[in-house]
Amino acid sequence: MTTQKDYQDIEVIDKESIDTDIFDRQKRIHGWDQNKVSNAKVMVIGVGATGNEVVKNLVLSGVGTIYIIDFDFIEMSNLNRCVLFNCKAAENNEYKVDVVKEACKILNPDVKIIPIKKDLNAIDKNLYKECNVICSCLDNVEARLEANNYSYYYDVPFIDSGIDEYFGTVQAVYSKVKESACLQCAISDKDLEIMWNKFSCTGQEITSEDQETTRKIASIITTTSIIGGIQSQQILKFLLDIDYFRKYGKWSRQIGEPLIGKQLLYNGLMNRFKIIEKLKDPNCWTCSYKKPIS
Amino acid sequence: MPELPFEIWKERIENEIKILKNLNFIENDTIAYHEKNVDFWVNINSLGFITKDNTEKLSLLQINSHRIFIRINRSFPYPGGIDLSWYSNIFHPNIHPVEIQNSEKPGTGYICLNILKQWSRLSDLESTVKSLQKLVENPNPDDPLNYDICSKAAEFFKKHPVEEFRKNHKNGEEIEEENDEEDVIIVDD
Repeated sequence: MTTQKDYQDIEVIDKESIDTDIFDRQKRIHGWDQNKVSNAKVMVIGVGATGNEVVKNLVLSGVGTIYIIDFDFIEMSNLNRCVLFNCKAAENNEYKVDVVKEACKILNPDVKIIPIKKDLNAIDKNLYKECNVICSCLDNVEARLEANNYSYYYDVPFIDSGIDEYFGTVQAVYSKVKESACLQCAISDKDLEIMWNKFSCTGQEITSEDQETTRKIASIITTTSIIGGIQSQQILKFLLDIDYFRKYGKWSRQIGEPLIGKQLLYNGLMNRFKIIEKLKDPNCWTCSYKKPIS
Repeated sequence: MPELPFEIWKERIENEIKILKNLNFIENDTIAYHEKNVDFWVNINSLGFITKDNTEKLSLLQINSHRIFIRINRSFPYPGGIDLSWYSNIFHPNIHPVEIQNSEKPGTGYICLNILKQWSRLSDLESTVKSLQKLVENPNPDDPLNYDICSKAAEFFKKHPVEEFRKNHKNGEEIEEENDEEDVIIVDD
């Protein structure tokens, strides 16, 4: 049921720009502030299947600056689920980030895309501090944990996602919310073992070609677009509402609370969403660290 | 491997080195802090064996002191965060020391240590160094490193299990391997 006040709010929008303003329709959302979105800096780590969806959503919503980090090249087998890639780029084996940048220019020329062709552990750590939100669309635990660790340390909201066939997860981490778990909290000895199995007994990385160290997962665009959509929604929630949270210690009613310390599980086979609360580990390597008071 | 932010990493290493210092494992004044790693030397005391020089037969001497170089890199405390390099000479199936007797080429220093393979969230420097001590006393001949000296040691310790071997030979005594039938070469005229 809409109240009288809701109608008044909509009337405030300039009638002349109904058809000419790109962001007219989203400005009609209560609590939406396009300036916050347009001035925001978001880092997207990995522009594979989910990364494409997230970047597309952010570009169309008018996020000001997007850093995209990926050192990989486009393959033909990427094209079934990546909206910003194209056949020609796959034939030429171009960098993913370059192709995404070109594609985004067509979608919205005002958005600044900064491509970084590096491995995550080689980037300048100050970049984490500069961003308003960090989001990871990765395929391995190592890089996820590193992004989690640095985002948590620099108090930047971090949103992680994962997909596998018809299943997907989204989890947000934000250090300013007390008693909320980070990704490192849920890491078990088994996870450490899997990470370490890529290396031989004396610590040298196994590099031979016939020993495939990473499993290729099955993925289709329907799952990635659902998960990428939810992930972009979390990013926008943080961008729009973080000032309100810092001021009042809670999330505003219009924008809603992000999934901090909680994990959303999507099951495409059973058409089900489930949200579980993640437990905080009091001895967690990342989030049990207390910064010295300066 | 992932890494922790520098301040978290540094604090954790300082705490762990303090524990090792209290246990008298670390050689004096060898700790060097760098931007990407922390180096130091460790001395451990436990009974191991070395081969004796210039004999055709394989003969062993017991030794009690070992020297290891430890480098903690930025991956710590994730698996692979500790690089170990065994310096002092030792006759052991799972250790390829840098200083090998009667060999001009230095060894690799590699150590095949179970705790590094099965790194858990509770593993730390102290447990690693203590398990090195145990490794010296209990060689595992079933899983040797792929080097000449290591396979030789594996062969030896398969024939003479360590517990039995220690019982029969007192500390410091010279140990000689008995002649095998294989060693006897019969030349036909």
